[in-house]
Amino acid sequence: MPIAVTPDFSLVPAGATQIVSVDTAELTAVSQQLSALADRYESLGRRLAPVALQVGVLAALDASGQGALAFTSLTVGAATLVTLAAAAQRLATAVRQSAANYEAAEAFASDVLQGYEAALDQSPAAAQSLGSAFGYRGGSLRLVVQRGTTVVKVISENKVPLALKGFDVFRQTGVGRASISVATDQLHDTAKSFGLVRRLRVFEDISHEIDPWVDPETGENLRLDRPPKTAADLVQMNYLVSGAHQAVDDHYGGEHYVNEWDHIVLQRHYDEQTGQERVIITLPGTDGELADLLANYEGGTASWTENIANAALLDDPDVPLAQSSAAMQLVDQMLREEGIDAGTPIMLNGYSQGGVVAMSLAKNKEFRSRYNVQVVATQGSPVSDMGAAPPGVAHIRMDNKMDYVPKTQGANPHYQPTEDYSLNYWNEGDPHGSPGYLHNAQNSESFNRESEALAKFFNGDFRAGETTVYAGSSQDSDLTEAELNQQRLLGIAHGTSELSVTVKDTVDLAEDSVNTVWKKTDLPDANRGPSGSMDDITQPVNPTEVYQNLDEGVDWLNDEVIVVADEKLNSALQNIKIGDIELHPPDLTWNPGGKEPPPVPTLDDNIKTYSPNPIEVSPAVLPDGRNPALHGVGAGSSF
Amino acid sequence: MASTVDIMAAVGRGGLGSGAAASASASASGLAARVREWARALGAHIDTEVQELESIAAESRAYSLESWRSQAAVAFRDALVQEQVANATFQGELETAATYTRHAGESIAASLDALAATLGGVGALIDNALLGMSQVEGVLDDVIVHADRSGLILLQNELQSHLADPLLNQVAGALSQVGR
Repeated sequence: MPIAVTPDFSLVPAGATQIVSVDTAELTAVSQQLSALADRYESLGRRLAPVALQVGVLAALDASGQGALAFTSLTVGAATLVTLAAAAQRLATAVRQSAANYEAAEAFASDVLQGYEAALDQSPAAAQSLGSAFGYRGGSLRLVVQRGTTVVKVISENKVPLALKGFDVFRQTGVGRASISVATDQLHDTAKSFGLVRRLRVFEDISHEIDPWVDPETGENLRLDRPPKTAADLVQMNYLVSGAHQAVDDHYGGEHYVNEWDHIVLQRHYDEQTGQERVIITLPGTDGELADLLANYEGGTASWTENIANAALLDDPDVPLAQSSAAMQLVDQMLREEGIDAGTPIMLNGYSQGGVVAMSLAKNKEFRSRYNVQVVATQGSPVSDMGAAPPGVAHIRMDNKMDYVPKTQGANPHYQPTEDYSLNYWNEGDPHGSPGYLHNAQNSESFNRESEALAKFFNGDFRAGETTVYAGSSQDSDLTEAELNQQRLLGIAHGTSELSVTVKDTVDLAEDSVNTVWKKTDLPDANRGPSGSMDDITQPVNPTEVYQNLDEGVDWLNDEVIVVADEKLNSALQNIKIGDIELHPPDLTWNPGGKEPPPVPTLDDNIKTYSPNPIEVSPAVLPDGRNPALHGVGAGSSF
Repeated sequence: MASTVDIMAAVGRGGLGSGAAASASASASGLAARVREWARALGAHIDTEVQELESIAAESRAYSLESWRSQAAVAFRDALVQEQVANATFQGELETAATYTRHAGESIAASLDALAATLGGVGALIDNALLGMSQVEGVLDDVIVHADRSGLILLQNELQSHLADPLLNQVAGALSQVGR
């Protein structure tokens, strides 16, 4: 039975403009009629052409000039008819497409309706929550969904949990999953065009500097001397490793280092009886704040925009590691440096973005061809759709039902991880924060139950061995001279010649950009601080709108910040030269066609340059006798 | 024995001059009528297409779909309005073209009618000039002088000129070309 979506206009708030009322059957008929109308125009044109020719013959005999006027009108008219016919055909096509769009929306409504009916079987309250699945902000619109003569009211409530539940239903529908996947890919493309997707530039072993098992709150060392046995153990590892962000940032805050660095942790476990080895890689969550857009140019491997890249890579297992994200490359590089071979069982454990990276690696064909990934553990990560674990890899999923982050991607309702651990709390400040997870996991019976997947992975008498910490820094994968110039103005370029621009110019440009960004995001002052962005989540927010806002935000960023910055640069760079290079007017493009060598890192023996495929690197021996592979000297390096 | 003058006068009385022009004049008149009919037929054809345009416009106006409410519906109606405006403008242009076509036909026909009348007139003048030859007495030289004085030679030249008017052949050729 066809399902029609008909707004009840009596329920529409006064002043509402976004009203849709349509009968797709009518549109289909109109489309066909418009095609017929176009045919009539075309037929008329065909009949008129010979008449115009005869009038042309007549006009040649007429000295009054009236025949010529008639001939001109008819000739122009024949062209007009062609235009009218084409326009009518286009209109017919557009109407047909509109009908198809409405039918797609109707299919979505059908999904929602079925979900509603299923939810109604459970409780009326759950059914009502589906209202916001249409993507409207809670309380802003009411709809009536009608199946045949049965009318089902779908009411949006102005409560965040209900909105989240509604979106949760949406992301499990076919339409929702496809929409979110496409939106993620588009965001990824956009981020790439803005130079916000990065590759690993340099890395180093900082095990002697950072102990990731120290509780950042209490200073207590919580390192386990045994393998993790429960989900709570994994949550604690994630809490500690993510909590080490600050210590790593502090370490790289000195003048010796350039740019932002982020870390990952490798822990070995040994079975003293058999000599077998197991390796756990623990990946922290995002480092930095969403409002700090410039941070994405500063070189970390776990910035906000890397989330987009890692999420997009979930459904692209064929991507070469050389073209993957900086965080994925750092894991690959660390395993190579540490001599982990293809036979050593590996477990990837990640919190938030770290979980996305872990799952992207577990699915990546090149990575799996090199390493023996047996377990992936994700905590608060959106990996339940395209990120479903590949066959042969156990997936331990740990979520908080009220956590919004795992819901930012689609969800396959039929996907079941190997082990699924779920918390359900809201009153911990941030339902995504790792401290809240830890507190609740430690008090959860299921999280403290022994994990079969972990027991299977550590099937012996394993003890914890040494811990290794690597940090990496990234670079824009298509850094051009023009972008370097802009980075110099923003004060975030390193390792290249200086640009003589006044401090005032730099400060003005940076302040203008950041102030405009804040003004655009329209956040209250209290929310602009480092912790503010998390607090925003306690406000009514529909994730669908977040995607839309991001899309609009990128367009706006180009128009209001980048173009404006470009104009400022044009002005600021007048008469400035670096050597023989005249910078005015700079050609600032955000879709550069060519690549330039990456900036030269600080000369430090501990810091190595990342090369995605060191096997192809030559020469075999450097002039000073060092092995280039061991010292990370690859193509494009400037040593 | 009849003199040269007598013969010429007899030719004049017999209407040899008008007889020669009459055929051409009738031909011109006939062409005028055919052109007029052709142009009117073309005008009527164009009028028919104007009615077809109006019929299309009426059908188009019925597609407004009052029940369809959305941004797409607004754009759709805007497009329909543009189409209807273009249609109406074109209707006006075609109506004007039909009128101009008829006028062009009338203009050509009028030229042909004038040519026919001229041909008849010149023929009559030639008759009169020949008839006037009966008043002449004398030798052949006198006849030639009289003919010259009466404008007979000029009239003959004028007749020949009108008979060779290119409009006649052009119109006949055009009508033949369009199958009329």
